[in-house]
Amino acid sequence: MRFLFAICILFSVQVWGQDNPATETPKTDPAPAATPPSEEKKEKPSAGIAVSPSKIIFDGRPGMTQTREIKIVNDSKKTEKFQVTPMDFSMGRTGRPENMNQTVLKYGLTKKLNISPSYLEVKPGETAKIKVTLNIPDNEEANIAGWALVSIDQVAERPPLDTKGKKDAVAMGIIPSYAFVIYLYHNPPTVINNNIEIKNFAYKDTLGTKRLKMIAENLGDGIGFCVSYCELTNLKTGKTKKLNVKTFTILPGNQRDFFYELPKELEKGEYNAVGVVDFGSDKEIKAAELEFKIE
Amino acid sequence: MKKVVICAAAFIAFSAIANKSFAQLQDEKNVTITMDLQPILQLDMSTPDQIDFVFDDIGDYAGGITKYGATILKVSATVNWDLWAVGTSNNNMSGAGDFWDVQASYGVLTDVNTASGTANSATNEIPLQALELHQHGANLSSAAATGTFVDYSTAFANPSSQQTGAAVGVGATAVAWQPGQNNIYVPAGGAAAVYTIPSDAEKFIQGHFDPTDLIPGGSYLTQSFLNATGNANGQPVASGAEMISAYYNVIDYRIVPGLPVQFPLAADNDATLQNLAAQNSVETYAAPGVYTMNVKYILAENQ
Repeated sequence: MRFLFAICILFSVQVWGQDNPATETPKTDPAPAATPPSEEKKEKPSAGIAVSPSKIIFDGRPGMTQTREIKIVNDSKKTEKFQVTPMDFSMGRTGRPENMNQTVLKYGLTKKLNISPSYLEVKPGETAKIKVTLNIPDNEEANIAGWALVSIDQVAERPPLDTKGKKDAVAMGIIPSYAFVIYLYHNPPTVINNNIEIKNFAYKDTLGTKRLKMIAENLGDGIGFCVSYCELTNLKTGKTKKLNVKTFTILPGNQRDFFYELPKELEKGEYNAVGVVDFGSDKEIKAAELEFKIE
Repeated sequence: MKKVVICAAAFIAFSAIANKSFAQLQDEKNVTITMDLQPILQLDMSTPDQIDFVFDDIGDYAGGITKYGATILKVSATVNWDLWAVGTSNNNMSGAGDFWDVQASYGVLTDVNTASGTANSATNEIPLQALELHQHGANLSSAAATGTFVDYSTAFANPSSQQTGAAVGVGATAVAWQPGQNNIYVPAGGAAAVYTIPSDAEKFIQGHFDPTDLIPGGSYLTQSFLNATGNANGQPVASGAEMISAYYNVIDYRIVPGLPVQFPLAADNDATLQNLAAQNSVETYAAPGVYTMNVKYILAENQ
């Protein structure tokens, strides 16, 4: 009996002691450490201007309106001004300037875009937003892809150039500025023709640099957001090696050339290479096969 | 028996007092966590508002003026990226010509050499390609580039080598000037061409046109510089190469007017000469005046 009573008391004491505010020692924050005088006025370093996102992909159907936002964060110490301009562009296989012909303009997005604001000031520490609205016409002709770019261009003021009062001198002033390019793509889910073909897949040994070259062409009306990879198999040893995955964009009617650098430690011998391009179709991917010899 | 009952009652009584230990209620709440990862491009450019070149001394005309480290470009990005420089002006963007903008012109535009009867043309159409850039450290990703010069890392050549065609310098530093080696990229085709990625035959600062030529996402804040034996970031580099980082680019500027003032080093990357003698006549020289141009540094996600 006494034992049972003692157990009851002990149990109650333990329970009582679990949360009894009256017995807890109040927590006090430690006194803040004294800040050395040299650190008191330390300024946060400037990180410049950040823009996000770097690419916008619209996927609306004909008749829809879609809006996306571009954010500009000013993490510098002064107010920056920006001019925002949409423009159509052409991107050929080598990037050489091409005329903005009707084939290109067919896919131009600027005529469907509305951007607001087109001029803005962003103070230090502030974030500004730019609305990009795509109005997709409600007709069959809108069932094709489109692209454009938006330039977010720093507006740099031109200060006076000091010619030191000499009118027989040549005085030249360079005004540096920077710009961000945001790519806009529209790939409607109803695009009729979505097709990438591998036109060429070859082994190249140029001045000792060994690599595989692939040429892919977009034969459809949709943008190919492609993922490509290549797998090598040594025909003698059976060893396989997967090369780095490539991600790239092929616009309709365009070709892209790209290279796979072969590892320098690759042994001499005969190889089989399989190059694969996944262009986002849920029905198929494209592949090409090649046999070559490293000597 | 009574004592047992009393103890049990005491037990129950004490337990009731200690409410918290026995009053734990079981409750569930669900919290939805959303994570939105946005691709970011960030650029911090340190540079004067205007970089001035005032040529009022014969030595400056002949040897040029160089502004070392006038611009520093610091990049941070969460995506693969390319960085290039564009030389442009109002004339260039409007399609009027790839020339510097004229703010003031002091010279007579055309006169005639009375002895020979040949026209001495003082022109105010100075080619944008007269500006040369030099970047500290090579472009770390330009394997698929096809141009003679893939970046601006070639050291400035001695201007006299342009006239003699011979290497100027001592020992291993002796180099001969080559057209286009440092000249800024000037796009043709109006405003849209300024922001469109240059071709695989032009110069970039980092990355290049080919989708495989890119700099991976990272930051100058965290990416270490190269050391003499390799690159901690996985980029290939020759042993003993200059310590560089793709995310931290230092740019020098140079203009060499020459004597006569024809900007002899002006050229495109395909070696097309753009100096005033080649584009006009041997008698053509630049008129005194005040000229301006823009250099845009463009950062974009690799496509």
